[in-house]
Amino acid sequence: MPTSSSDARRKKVLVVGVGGLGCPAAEVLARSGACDLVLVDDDVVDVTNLHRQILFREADVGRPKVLTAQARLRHLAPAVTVETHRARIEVGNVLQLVAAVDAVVEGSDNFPTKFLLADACRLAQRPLVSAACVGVSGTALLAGGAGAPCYRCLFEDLPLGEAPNCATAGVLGPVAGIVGALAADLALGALAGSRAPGTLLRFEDGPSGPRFRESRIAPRSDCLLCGPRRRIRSLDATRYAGPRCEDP
Amino acid sequence: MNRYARQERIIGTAAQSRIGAATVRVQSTSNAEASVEARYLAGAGVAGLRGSDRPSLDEARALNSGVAVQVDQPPEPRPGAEAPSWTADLSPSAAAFARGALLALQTLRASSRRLPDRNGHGAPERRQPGSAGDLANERVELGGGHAPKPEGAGLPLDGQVGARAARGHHRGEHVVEGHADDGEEQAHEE
Repeated sequence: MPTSSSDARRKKVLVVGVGGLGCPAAEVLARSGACDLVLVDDDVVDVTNLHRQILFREADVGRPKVLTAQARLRHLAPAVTVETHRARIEVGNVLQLVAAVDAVVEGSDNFPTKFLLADACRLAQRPLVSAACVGVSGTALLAGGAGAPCYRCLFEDLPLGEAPNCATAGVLGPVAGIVGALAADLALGALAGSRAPGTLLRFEDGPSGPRFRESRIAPRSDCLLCGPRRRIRSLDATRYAGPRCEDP
Repeated sequence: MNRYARQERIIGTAAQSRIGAATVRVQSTSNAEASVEARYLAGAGVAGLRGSDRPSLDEARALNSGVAVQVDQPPEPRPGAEAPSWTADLSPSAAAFARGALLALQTLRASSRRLPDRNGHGAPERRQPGSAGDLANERVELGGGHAPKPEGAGLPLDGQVGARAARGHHRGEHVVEGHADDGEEQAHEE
């Protein structure tokens, strides 16, 4: 991992979704000083974000999330470069964004975006940390490049019907924060080569108290994206049709 | 929409009311962790925050101007209150963030139940109405205007919604190697 001024180029991490997961992930990555950041989000700060999106303040309500987060991260870590794109991840822009960085952290709250990023990262051979959180539990998965398990090895395809998200099921702010920090740790580990692809971290605040679990997934032989008879070799917009949450 | 709506869906309105009446102490002993802990507590809507790190308290108040803050003495180390061991395996910045968030979660759990945990963390301080130390006098009332939810419909932090959702969109078979229920799991002691 580049840490000295003699490095030809600092590593870059793309953070997709500056919400309950993306805020803590971006803050942890920035405070590490180990990489520069690229933030992508098309939303503005809403008062209902503030209980879990702690990069923002009441005075930021109504402002674009990426610009607000950029200013905050620059204050927290002045040596870190933070690039912003006020945009939604789509088939037309995802490969260019992914190919320009060394790792991707996604904390989006809709499955079309998660699967689009999973496919794009696999095609571009970039490690992807996919984080999800709802209620009092969440997961962070490190999907790797060639030969390593991908997101679709665990989650085959978009769910049928509606799936719960933080807007419908609720979420506790600190739980999202812990999962976001775990996602950032996986990204730092991917950059440093110290975390194995397929690592799955799970946090849950259950009735008996908080629980942490680490496990490893294996490549799935019939995976559509990385198996021997894979069918996904390009990005087709019809594959990612589905409901998108308006409040990642 | 009520700014605490997404949190209330998990803990219920009665627990949210208890959090909104609680003045709590920031437990973190490092400033990096205290910053995270204080912001999550303020975001959750506590009435007051006491802590020793002024910048952390100011950040928290910027996030939620309804929170009364007071600079206090540093917390005394509590026996058995060490961070869970799994945080030691994280990178330093991730570990500090996770520890701060864990302490906030612990305090919210205790505050929403009106009971301290067994280490004494998070016990809401008993307010003396009208007294010089009544931080609630500085509090701006926030939220409200939403339909009350029966207490039993959202038991504090019961974990059922999250557990169901986290399993929600697996389809078909997948392989998960080991450690699901063995010694790899580490519970954060409360």
